[in-house]
Amino acid sequence: MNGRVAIAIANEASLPRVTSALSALGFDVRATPINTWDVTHVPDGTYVVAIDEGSCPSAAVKILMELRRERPGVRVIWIVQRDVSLHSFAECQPDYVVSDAIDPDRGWDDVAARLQGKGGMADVLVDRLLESVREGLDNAFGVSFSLHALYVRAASDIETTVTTLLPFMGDTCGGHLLVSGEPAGFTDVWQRLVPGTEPELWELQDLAGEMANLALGRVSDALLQPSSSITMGLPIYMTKSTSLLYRATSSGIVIRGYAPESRLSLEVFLKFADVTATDPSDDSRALGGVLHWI
Amino acid sequence: MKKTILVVDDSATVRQQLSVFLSGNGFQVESADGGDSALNLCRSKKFDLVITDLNMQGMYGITFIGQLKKLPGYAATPVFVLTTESTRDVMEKGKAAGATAWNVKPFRPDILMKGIQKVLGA
Repeated sequence: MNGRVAIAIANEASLPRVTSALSALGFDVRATPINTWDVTHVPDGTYVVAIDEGSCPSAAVKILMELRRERPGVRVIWIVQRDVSLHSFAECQPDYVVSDAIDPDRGWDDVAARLQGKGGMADVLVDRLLESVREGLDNAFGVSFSLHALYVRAASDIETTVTTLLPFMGDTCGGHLLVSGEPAGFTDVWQRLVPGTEPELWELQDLAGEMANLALGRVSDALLQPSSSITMGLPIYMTKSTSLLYRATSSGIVIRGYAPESRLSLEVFLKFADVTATDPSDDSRALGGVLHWI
Repeated sequence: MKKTILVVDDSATVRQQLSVFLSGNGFQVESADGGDSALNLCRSKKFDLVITDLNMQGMYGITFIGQLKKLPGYAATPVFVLTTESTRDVMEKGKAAGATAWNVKPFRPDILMKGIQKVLGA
């Protein structure tokens, strides 16, 4: 990583800390105060840009979106003081998120490991996972999620009316899936599946659980060895604001998604003991939607 | 006379989705939210086909299939499994318990209907 250029963007107070952290990772760091930001400050060959949202998250979002548009090849580290909304993550799609507030001493370890290609999951495996979940939910429920993966310690503030969390445990991984949204969004999905009916709140929670259930099946298909399996826990239904804190290791992953049309959110938290990709050509798992005579 | 189908799933979404779909295709449909209540229904009434989930609160779907097959009149009744489970190992266990066919969710209406028509001759 020596010789690679990193740009640190932060307010005056945070800039020395962010610059120092990037220097420790071996980058040639150029410090940029957030109020002097200009996308032309990111020359060709820049490997990573770190943005400290500091006291101005809206500025960080604006910078990140501009980077995505003007410099699509640059990897972006987003340093957050607290968790930002699922919508913001889906909109901006940072490559890495460091939450200083949660674990200031270890947050950068994950970023370093990922930048050095150590730990975590292979990109091809993550891509397969995202595609599998996206395709499964679209086929089953007609809901198109924009999904992306974060290698982070993170927290979620859930403020929606309908939330269902589905825990699971397997031979090599454990975690949970969470689907949340407002009744109107779930009602639209419900009425596509069961036309002419008016669902009650508990039925919308059940629908969220079924969406999580299907996504879990796709996670299992994408990641697990043919002979291994995962055990699903009982769904947990939540109807008021709550906070979840994840302490993933470098082999943990949080996938977040947002479906803009129905305003539904999806979150998958996975923590692995040992990640092994299955061969994509392996046909020892049954295909979804196909009736297999046995 | 309409053929009868029992849908067993702890998800109200799936029960209602299948009920609307199957009723609309000319079948008489009843549903149960778990293995115990499904077995009670089957003791009092003969269904022509059972469609069941696996991961349900209470009784596991494969256990349900095994117990269903022991009920009088149900040894030869076709059983479709509709689940997110897709491993061959679990499918083999389902087959050993007496399952006829396996559909990994989500179901495709046209394919499911062809399968039903094949076993029921409907």
